[in-house]
Amino acid sequence: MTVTHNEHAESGHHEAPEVVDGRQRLGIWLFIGGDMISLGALLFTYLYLRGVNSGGHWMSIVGMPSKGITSAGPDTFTPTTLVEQPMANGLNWLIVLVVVVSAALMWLGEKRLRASVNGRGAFRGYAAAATVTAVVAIVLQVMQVRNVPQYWIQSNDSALFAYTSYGSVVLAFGISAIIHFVLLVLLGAGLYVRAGRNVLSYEKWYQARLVRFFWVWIAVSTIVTAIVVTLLNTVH
Amino acid sequence: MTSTIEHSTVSAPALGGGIYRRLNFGTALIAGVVFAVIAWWVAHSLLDSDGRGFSDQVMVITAVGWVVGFELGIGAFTSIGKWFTGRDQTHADEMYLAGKDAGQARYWRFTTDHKVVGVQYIVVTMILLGAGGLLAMGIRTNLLSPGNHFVNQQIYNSFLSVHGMLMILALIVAVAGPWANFVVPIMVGARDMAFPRLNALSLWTLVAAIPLLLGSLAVGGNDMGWVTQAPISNQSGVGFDLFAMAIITFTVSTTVAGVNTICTVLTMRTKGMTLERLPIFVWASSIAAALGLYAFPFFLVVMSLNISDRMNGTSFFIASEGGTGWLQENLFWLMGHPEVYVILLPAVGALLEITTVFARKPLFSYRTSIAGMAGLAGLSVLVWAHHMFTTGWAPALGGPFMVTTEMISIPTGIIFLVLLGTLWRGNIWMRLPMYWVFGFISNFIVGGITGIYLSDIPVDNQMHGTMFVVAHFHYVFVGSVLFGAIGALCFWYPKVTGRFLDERMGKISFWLVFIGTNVTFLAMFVSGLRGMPRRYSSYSLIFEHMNTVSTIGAYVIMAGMLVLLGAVISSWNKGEPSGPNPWGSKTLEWLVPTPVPLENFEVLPVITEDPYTYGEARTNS
Repeated sequence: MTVTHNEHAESGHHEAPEVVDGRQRLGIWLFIGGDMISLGALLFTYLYLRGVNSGGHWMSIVGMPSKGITSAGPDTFTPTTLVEQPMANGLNWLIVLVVVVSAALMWLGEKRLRASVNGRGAFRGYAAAATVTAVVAIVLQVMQVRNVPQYWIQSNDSALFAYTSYGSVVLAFGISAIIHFVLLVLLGAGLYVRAGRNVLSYEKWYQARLVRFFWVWIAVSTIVTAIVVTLLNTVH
Repeated sequence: MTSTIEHSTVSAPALGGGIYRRLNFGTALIAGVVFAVIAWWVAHSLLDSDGRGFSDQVMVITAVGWVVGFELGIGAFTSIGKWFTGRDQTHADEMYLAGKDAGQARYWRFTTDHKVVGVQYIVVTMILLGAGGLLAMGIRTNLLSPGNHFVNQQIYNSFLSVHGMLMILALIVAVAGPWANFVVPIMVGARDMAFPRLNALSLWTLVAAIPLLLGSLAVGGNDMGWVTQAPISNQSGVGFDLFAMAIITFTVSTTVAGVNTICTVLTMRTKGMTLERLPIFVWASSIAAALGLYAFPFFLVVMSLNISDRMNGTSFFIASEGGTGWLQENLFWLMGHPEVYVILLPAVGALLEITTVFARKPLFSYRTSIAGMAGLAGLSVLVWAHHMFTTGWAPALGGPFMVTTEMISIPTGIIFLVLLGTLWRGNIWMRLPMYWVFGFISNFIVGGITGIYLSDIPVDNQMHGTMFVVAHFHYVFVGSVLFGAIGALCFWYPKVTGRFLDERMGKISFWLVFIGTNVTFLAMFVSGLRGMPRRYSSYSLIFEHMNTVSTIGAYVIMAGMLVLLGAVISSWNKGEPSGPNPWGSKTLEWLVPTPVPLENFEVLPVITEDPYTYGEARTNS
């Protein structure tokens, strides 16, 4: 390998923000790619369990509803086959709406930040609003998770809480969403603080775009999940 | 105008700079233990647990406490905290993190310099291999004769599980960890990895995972085998929770590392370092990293669902409640087979690199070798169900999966031919690294071809679950990947230390490991062909002789590895000085001084030709 010295190499080994941004942009897309695979694995789980409908238990379980029961033991246990209904879609789509609004706010904020030197204040407002909506999404998602029906089932000589396979995957989607929304809140709050300290500004807006990429991806993943759970919930 | 510089003695700066400048491995251990104990106490107080204070939920929360505490204690979250508060790190902070003027202390803390991280990975890999190797010795000792009760069945099964997972983790990082960190940035003409802090984070996250894996043995073990087969995994004790949490932690580490490698190669190449001028090891590491990004999220998901079934009452893998074990198998092997190539590709890339240098020839058909690696990666995501031929899952898909599995032998064969073509009529210089290349060639033939046998459904129906399969994948992992990893160590050791690895001890080690490998696993092939099932702690008398031979072979391997360890340690400070480029190599890492300075290059180089011009240089001269 023949090598010559690069006479135009940067002095002091510091790189231009655009160069660093390009690298970070690729990095965030790769992380999003990994996250896509994770979502894909969960969707695969959902569709597989629904397709297999093992023992006819996609939406049914042999046990007792947990609602209203404060204690249950083998003595009081009379399990029956319980058929579950698909969860109401209203809350699901409300969460989607909130997350999409949240992503839109972040996107608009980034546009304002990049548009003019005075855009920093507006960006802080948008970032704060996006963060608050993400908090709302967390609250709604927690409500949704709490709505997933839970049952008592008999296991050897004791009784345990359990979910149907449908309920299990909905729960997994919900917990995964909550983790992602918490990340959004942290990122949004971080951008808000950074803009306040002038680390983010008209000249230095790159990180806002990186966060926006992730925010939009989360919105897209929420939509995809909602579509699948809405349209493909009953046994085919 | 002229200027003069006055040199004066500058006293070392006061430590200062906040608490994060006082964090190191010791504080990490303390914080990890403290957080784990607090997490255990809180969880134990609020949740149900057994008489020992354990339950699935308690163990998972304790494991999370350990990881969070360890990362806080090492300083992994310091930069995140600074980002969050808008107080970005100064240049002085970055230099501190890079380990500037820190001496040996930089190896014991959250240091971002890729070369330090590379050395840390060498040590971590050795620890993983050592721990996994000790468990292997326990397994083989138990199998020395039928009815031997060196350990009881439960412990034997736990040894199998933890040995399997330790070795998988060790081999995933054995080449990609040390060398994708130490040499890849220099090879592409960069001053560091793309994300130095993430680089250190990936290393210390891996370190955090190791005690969880070993700790699983201390709390009852995990007797499910490394594949964590569901629904049996639901019956395992709380050791399984630590085992699964270790894997989840590891997937975070390896995902971060993979993103870093790809970004470094794609965005930090120096001027003139086109994709067609990239050293083949860089290609291999990048393709493996991309494949890892695809594979490891499945690992994360399947382990999370496994834990959820145990502690949340979900029923992903429990057939009586609507789940199915086939789902677990699918998710696991969607990760499991690509992971084989995540492990194999960097080792092959390193061996190709060694071969060009010591055969003094350009790499035979450079583009074809890249195509072979890409083909290997592409096909590897389409073969997972061959692990499930005998499970009864989707018999109609058996044929297609048999074909895709057999097809993968084509790119594998191409890479093999590239290696042989590079050797062909080469002016071979038989130094220590080349021994491992030839060892690889011999072993990989056996491991590869028996893999083709096993891809055929009729053969697999006979061999599945026997020691034949164990022998096959050990020929691939030990005989091929480990040989590649050791070859890489012998090759780049002078660049790390400025000294040669002791050639005599290295050759003794090679012959012991080579002979031991073949004795151990050829005998295992015979056991398997005779029908000996795997994962059994005892066996029928008809398998005794071959098992005794295998056990003797395993001890020979261990002896070889100990000799290698001795050579590594003794040569580190006392080996023969090597100078910056002892092999006369033409890739960039050999053209910088040894020890490699912080930030690698004073002035970034411009590349004007490809890295393998050995033959041309000889012709010209």
